[in-house]
Amino acid sequence: MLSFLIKRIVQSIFVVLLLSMVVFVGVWLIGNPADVLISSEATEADRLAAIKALGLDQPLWKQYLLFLQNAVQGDWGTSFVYKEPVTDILLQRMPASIELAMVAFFMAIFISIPAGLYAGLRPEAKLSRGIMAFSLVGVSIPSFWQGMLLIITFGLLIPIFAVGDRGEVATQFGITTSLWTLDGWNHIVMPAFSLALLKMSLLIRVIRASTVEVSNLDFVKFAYAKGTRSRKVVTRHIFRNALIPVVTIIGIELGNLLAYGVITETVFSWPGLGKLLINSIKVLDRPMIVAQLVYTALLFVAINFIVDVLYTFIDPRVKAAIGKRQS
Amino acid sequence: MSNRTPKEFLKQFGENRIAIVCLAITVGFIICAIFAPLIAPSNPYDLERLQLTDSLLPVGSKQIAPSQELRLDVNVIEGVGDADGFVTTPCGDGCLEFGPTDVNVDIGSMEIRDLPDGVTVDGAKKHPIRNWWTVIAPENGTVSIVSDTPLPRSFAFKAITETTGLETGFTFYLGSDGFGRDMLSAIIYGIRISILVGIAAAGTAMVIGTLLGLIAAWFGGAVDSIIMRSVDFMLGFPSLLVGLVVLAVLGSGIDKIIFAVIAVQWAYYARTTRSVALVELNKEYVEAARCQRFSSTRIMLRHVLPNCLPPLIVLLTLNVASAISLEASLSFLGMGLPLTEPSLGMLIANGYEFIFSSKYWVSLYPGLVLLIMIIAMNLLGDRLRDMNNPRLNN
Repeated sequence: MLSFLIKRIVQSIFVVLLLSMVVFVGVWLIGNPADVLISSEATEADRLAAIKALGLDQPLWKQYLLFLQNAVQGDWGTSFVYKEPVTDILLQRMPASIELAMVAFFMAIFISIPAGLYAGLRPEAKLSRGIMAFSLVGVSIPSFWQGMLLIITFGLLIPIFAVGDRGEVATQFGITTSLWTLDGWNHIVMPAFSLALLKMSLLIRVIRASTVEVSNLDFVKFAYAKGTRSRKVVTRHIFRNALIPVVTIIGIELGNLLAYGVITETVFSWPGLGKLLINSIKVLDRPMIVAQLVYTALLFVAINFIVDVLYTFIDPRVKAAIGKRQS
Repeated sequence: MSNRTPKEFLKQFGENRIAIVCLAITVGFIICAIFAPLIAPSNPYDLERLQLTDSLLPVGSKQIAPSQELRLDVNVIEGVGDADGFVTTPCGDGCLEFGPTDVNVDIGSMEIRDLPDGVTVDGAKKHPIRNWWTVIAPENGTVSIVSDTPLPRSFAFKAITETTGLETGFTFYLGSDGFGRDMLSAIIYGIRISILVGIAAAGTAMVIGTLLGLIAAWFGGAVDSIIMRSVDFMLGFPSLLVGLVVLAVLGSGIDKIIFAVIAVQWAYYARTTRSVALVELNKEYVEAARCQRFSSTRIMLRHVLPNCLPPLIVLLTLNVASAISLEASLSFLGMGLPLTEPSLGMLIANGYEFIFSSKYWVSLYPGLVLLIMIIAMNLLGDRLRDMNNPRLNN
């Protein structure tokens, strides 16, 4: 088990390093930031001094190593646009993104699990067909367009929810979030649903498929034949086994939520990291682009790692497989 | 799928009515894409055709040609004067009518300037300071110049007439966007670009991914490891993130978008091809081919590849849909295509700023078309996959 953990950690670090290298080299290819940053009226001496101060006179690999060294210590550089340390800006924007992703995540789970199980247990029922049609549209609909439809319907035609921005924030237990206020919830419901819709639909399909599959397995038939009450069969035998693949997918989807937040945040003008990333790319704010992409990758890899580890605890078969491979 | 004749395949495919409808819709979209210039009522890329007066017209409105202004200098001698199709006719003492000779000309407004002192225009609004008189929509296009005292024997004035806009016979069936582009035409051309990007990107990704998958399966060992680890690496990240990274580095444009989609999708084909090819390589026909000392390229391309195709075609159908969707998302974020040649995603993005002023049609219809297109392709892919699944067939 321990060697499996270490192997996975090394693998994860390698992936993040590789991606940071790709991003760093890629962004370096865009062009020389000195041309953007230094006024065209500056003297040649000023120019050279500025290039040296920014560390741009070093060869690329040295710049990369310096970047890594600083990044590990929490210094991700200074934004070209905001003239502030990137870390500060990211920390300032992060709560908004995280609260959006969390609300969307729980929304997706609490709607998709009951819906998927129902559709799997009664595949022919009318409600099941409705659920499946909903999930088909949810999988196919472009997420920015459904966000706009939500704004039109519930923000403008029937103005129930507020559109744009994060609403009032409050601090409690040392956490500053808009979830403590009613106004904050009023603002978060629509973007969170919009972000959750795709994941919700995917999860419904996966849960339904695995429920149908498990319901036809021999041990379920045996449980029925034994005379176990059908409610017990469903809760004890079907649900438990049907939900195993869901754990992996939930993990991957949580990472996806963070990535797709870019779109939702743009549509709903949510002041989070995603919107910042798009703006940074548009104005070529290099330290911001590098930091954000690497940070997202880091988060993504970390979530994948945790899910992998959790998975081995939940499914004894995986644990057995790992043990077999090692022996 | 391999043991079926094409006829049996079609028959089995036809058992599902939804699949047929989806196939019809997909084929319809492809025809639409190929013949876009013939189907579309106007060419949305023709920038000279765009008129500011056409912008943001609601659904079903008719195009109206911009009004024309005519400036006339009229000299009236003994109550008679004419200029460029307009004449004055006396109408009693101290009264003179001025209007077009052709009564069919629609006059939107007429302004009479520089009349002699004491002379006014009936029913006109006077300029607060100057001696200018404006009549909006005069009856028969004619205004009456009146005076309490008899009019001077000869005088001169200026007339500025503005015709009302005439319908050109062109209808904006789905309204128009902020540039005055016909949405219906823009959507038809948008379908063309979206499908072009989808098929070009997913197709190229399929070729690259399949070749890499075959190489991995044939050589095994270190080559296999390198290819499959890069597949894991690519699949480890959400496609939108990969697309953003690629476009952040390369900049925007249709070729870059296609490249971004290829970078995202090749890994799916490589993984599928490798797993299928590994199974196929153990079969007897491969051994037979090897015994005949065929070259490895020939065995892989002529013997193994055709047997790997069914799952790859399913993947292609689904990936064209997701390529279109990804392109639309990236375009929406402003990382994609230029505004002058918009894809469906770009059209929706364009409409975003107008939804807050209740001009829904700019983004609603392109989105609806995109949704139908993606749903049809997804269902088609699902159907092909189900038919390809031996567990479901027997």
